[in-house]
Amino acid sequence: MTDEDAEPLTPAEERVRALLHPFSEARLPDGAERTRSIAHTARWQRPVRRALVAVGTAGAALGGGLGTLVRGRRDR
Amino acid sequence: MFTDPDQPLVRAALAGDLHAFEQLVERHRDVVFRVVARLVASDQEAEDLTQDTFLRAFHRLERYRGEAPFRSWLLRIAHNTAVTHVTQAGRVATHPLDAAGEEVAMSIEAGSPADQLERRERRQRLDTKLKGLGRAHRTVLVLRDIEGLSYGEIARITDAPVGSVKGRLHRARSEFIDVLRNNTYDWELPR
Repeated sequence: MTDEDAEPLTPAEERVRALLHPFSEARLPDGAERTRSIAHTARWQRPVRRALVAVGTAGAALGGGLGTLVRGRRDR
Repeated sequence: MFTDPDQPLVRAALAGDLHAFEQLVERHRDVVFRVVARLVASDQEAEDLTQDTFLRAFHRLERYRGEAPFRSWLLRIAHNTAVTHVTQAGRVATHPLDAAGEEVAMSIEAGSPADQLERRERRQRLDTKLKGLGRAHRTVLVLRDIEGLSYGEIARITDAPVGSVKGRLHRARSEFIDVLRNNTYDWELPR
């Protein structure tokens, strides 16, 4: 929080903030294991995703080309 | 101009360094989990959505322009992921955290077992009340009064003007105070 954001709170608002404080101490369960799992998933997803994007791009280009051909024949 | 300690890691991750990305996950996994956990129904969902958030961020990293802190950008993805999930699931997140999950999630607590139990019960009651608020109010309350984020950062995360964030936060606090005052449980709220 920056100084310009500092705000006068009513006593009730101060109390709410104090009541909510314990939630700020929560941690992701099994954090280290989760982190490894996320990195592992990211590692194998990256090439798969790139391949899918490449296939999608090629498919779109092919579709676009075919569309142009079909329209060209229809117009003739 | 701002200095963001995450920028070197973001650049390294963009260059293909997965260890750098892992460090970013390590830095921000808890805040992402906390924010998502207050928006969805259960701890288990929050854990899964935390993972989804980081994977989405990883695959979209090229779109991050570095104009705002990485944390804001990441929390915006987390917020949107949670909102989409709740909308698709078609239910309001009003279920309290399960005791076991809460026990694991919270840091080691001091006091007798009875004190710990009482604190846990209190947190669960409070969580239920918090999750009874509308999503927009709950979001600003979580981002400001739990995470201590600036108005600017909250505005970026929720895609709302700063003025709207301030107004929303004021109404959210008032609503929450009313809810707690009208509760049979004594929250010791001053008048």
